[in-house]
Amino acid sequence: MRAAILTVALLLSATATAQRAPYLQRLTPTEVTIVWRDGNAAGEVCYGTAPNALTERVVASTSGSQHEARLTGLNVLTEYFYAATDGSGCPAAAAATDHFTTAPEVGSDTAFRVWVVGDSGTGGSRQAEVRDAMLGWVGAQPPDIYLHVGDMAYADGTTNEFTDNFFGMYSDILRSTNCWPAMGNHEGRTADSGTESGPYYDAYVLPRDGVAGGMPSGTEAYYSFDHANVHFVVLDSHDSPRSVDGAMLQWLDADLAAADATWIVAFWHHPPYTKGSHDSDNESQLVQMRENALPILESYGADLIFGGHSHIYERSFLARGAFDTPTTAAGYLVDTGDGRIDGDGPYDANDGTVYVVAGHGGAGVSGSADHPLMYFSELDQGSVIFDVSGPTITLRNIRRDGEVTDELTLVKGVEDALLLVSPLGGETIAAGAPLPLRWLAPDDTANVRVELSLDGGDHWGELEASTPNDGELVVTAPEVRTDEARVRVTDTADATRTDESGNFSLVGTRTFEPIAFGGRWEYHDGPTAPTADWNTTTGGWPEGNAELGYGDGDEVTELLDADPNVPTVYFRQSIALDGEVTRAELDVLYDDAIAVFVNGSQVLGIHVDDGLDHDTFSSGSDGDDARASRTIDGSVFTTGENVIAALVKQASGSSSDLSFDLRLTLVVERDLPGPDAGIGGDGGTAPRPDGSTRFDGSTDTDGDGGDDGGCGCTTLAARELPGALLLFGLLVLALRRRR
Amino acid sequence: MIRPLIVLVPVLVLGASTALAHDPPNHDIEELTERIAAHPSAPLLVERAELWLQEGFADEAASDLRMAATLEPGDAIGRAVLWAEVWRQRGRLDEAEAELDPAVAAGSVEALAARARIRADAGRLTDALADYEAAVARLLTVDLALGHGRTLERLGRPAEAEAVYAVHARRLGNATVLVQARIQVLRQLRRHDDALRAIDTQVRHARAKSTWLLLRGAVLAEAGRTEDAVRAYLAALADAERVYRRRRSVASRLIRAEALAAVGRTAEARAEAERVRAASPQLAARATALLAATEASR
Ligand SMILES: [Fe+2]
Repeated sequence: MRAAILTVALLLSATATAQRAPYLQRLTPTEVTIVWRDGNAAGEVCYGTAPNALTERVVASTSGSQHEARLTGLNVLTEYFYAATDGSGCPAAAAATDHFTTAPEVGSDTAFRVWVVGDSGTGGSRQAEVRDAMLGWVGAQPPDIYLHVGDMAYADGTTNEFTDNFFGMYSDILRSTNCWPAMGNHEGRTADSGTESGPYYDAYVLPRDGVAGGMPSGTEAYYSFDHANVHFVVLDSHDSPRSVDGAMLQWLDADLAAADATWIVAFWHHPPYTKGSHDSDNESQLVQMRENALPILESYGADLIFGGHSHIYERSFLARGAFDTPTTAAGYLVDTGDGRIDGDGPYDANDGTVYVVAGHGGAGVSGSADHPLMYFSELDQGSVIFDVSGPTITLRNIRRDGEVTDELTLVKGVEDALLLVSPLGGETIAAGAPLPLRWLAPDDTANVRVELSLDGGDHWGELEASTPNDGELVVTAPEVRTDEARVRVTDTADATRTDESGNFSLVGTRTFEPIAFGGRWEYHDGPTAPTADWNTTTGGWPEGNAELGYGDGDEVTELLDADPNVPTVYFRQSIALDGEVTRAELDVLYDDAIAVFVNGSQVLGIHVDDGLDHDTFSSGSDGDDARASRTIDGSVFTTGENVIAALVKQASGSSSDLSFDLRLTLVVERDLPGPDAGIGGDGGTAPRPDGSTRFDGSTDTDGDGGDDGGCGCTTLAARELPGALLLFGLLVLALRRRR
Repeated sequence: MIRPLIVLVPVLVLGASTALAHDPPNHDIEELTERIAAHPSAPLLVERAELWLQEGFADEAASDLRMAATLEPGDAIGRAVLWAEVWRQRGRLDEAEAELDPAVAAGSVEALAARARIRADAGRLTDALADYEAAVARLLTVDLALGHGRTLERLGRPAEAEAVYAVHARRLGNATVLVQARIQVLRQLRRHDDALRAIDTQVRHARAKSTWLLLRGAVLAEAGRTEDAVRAYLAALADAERVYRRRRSVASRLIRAEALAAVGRTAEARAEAERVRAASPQLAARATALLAATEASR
């Protein structure tokens, strides 16, 4: 089908001899292939388990400028250091960038991190932002493997485009992280799956013979590999026949029948569900992959499926069986919650599949973003990180500005077993705050016992002797400081159905929002100045919810729009704190000038260079609904009542609008007793006849955090969770508006 | 006077083409249409023709191919495969084949592979076989190898089909689908030991081994080695149970049901098969087959 295009492309690719830094391919528990390009006639890799002891050597096979060295007989899950040389000798030490860790033993529960990118290959600034946002977010825990869902070298997948827009762009990552690719249509302009030729197939060394796990596909166009307890399947949605009786889908069936991994993750370029720059209801490659490949994948219980091509981020609900064209959601959504541990709870992956479109790795985004299967859609560039940890997968969308805009947890219960999903261990929980517990148990478990340990499991106390097996319970974390807290959930009728978390920490440090956007404020919008103590007292002014102001139409509370304008308007409210503030963040929305005070001390001033007097106008403007964030000095706060006050100034007597809203985020540190106070001590527990102890803490099954004792402030009870929900609601609303 | 005419024709035709007969079903077609409007060129038109064909718009593809030929005559070989696809989609297999003949004569392996498929679709198996043989000698892909073997099977020549699958599988890293096809033929030919050896090349790759162990059991049973067959079935059931505990998929439930049936636990097998049939349209046919096969021993 593509002979004409291919001929041109092969000519193009033949003329380029590019330099490519070393990159990893076909990484397994016992081998890896290191590939690079330079002008040398020969190549060799020196390697070893210490950076300054490159004692082993493997001669590379060389074809043109490309060298490929296959290192075999390696140890499982072991870090190696290497140097790619011209064969004239090994250097004393490996470069800091040149190392790799072999894959974990297949089937093991070793935790690992995966980076997923699609449609990145522009070579432009957005692509770099996406990469850097990921690097910033992962910090010291970089991804263990990298999946690319295609379109990695725009516009035509030529050798030079690969070198610049893929190998150059991700060079430092690729030196130590294996990228497993799926071919996109743009690579398909110069590559041919039938002949496995062209720059895409030149660049990658992929397992066609089952060497990395899975059944031999006989081609590099589609293949599978195992990594720890995940079986990965990569399909060619562009250039291999997609019919049910074609070789690719026949192989898929055989490959999945032979998989025993806990998880199955599949990816290819053309997504089965999307309303981004492409539409899965109309385009044949997308329709065929949905109608032909998905029934096979779903019948084998595939858990997570990634596509690209459509330039958007989309993440589905947990779904099953939605193969028709056009796609409708009715009857196919298995879980209509958000899939978040801190929200409606994780999805049980035994029941369905999550579909993700990650076509937002660099190219311009577009689309209606309203696919009925999608829980979340975002028209902005980013990439996906997912973490596999035994029976749990946590997936996050890392937007190019570093924000995590979508988060999802998949869990996989084992039949006849109870699985604690949250907390898992490693969390830091504020003492006295709501501690949500979530678990999965077989349907015939009627009730569960919930216990807490503060000493790593040596002693246990009951939180609930028996609570219905509805999968969740929100308890109040005890007022204790420990790094060895654990919870345990057990079927009251069958003690073998039990699971406990790893150690998590209870701390006196608590992060919360005593004032959320949209909060309630006293205000003074009259023509005369308030009394001098206006920013240290409260009471006696009218109240209204933010946003407060006039003239834009988006105000919740409309203030006096006098003619000429009143130059200055005042706002205040009080919050109560029960500990020392160690960190404070202020986010304000203002038009045109703003000053903020805590207990009378000014902590922020924008465009108030002409003074704070009532009759003075602002000294500048940042336009409508400008936003600013500042970290402020925590010492201005005090234990007990605090007055937060703000004044907002007009630009002139004739300006049409004025706006104000404010969010305050605090970290409060309280002194807490050690773990001895929690169990068997006097910290609210009572001995029980059987020698165990029972916590006297309240339980809060509705999850709203209401009336929980010992929180960092008094206004929190009403604000914390609704505030978070409100913010999330706004995000969804913002997306809807963009459609 | 000829020169201006040549220039004029494409411009007129292109003008018409920018107002497409159908709404482009595909973002890439839309993009290409813009590029073609700005800088008309034969390669872009050929690329768009290919996309039209992908979406099943044969007439639009034909018009793009004609325009490409007007703009840039030549490259008849490269475009022949696309023209053949136009005719194939119109249901005119003879025209499709005629389109490919010159390209095949000129040495295009792609045209040869396309013609093999068209001849097989048209039921002209001997001609298809000749094309497959010529094609796989120059370009071996799993799809072509499958087509080659399937054509021989349809011609009633299983021994040759088996040999073809064996050779191709060896050259393609023991590609599973070719080995599967070969095992089916070996069973027909009652070459049980060869079938067992072929199964063993795959079992070592499979982490969940029950489907392969069930197949092994079936071959052993066909060979009259009943005790060995039972051992294979019991091993299949044990592995199916292990996998089912780990992956509660409808397919692993069905494989477990098949293993239960194989070891004679018919009632359990049937109950499981009923559940699969109710839960999965995809696997309903296989579940129904299991129910039918166990009907007698109920
Ligand atoms: Fe694409």
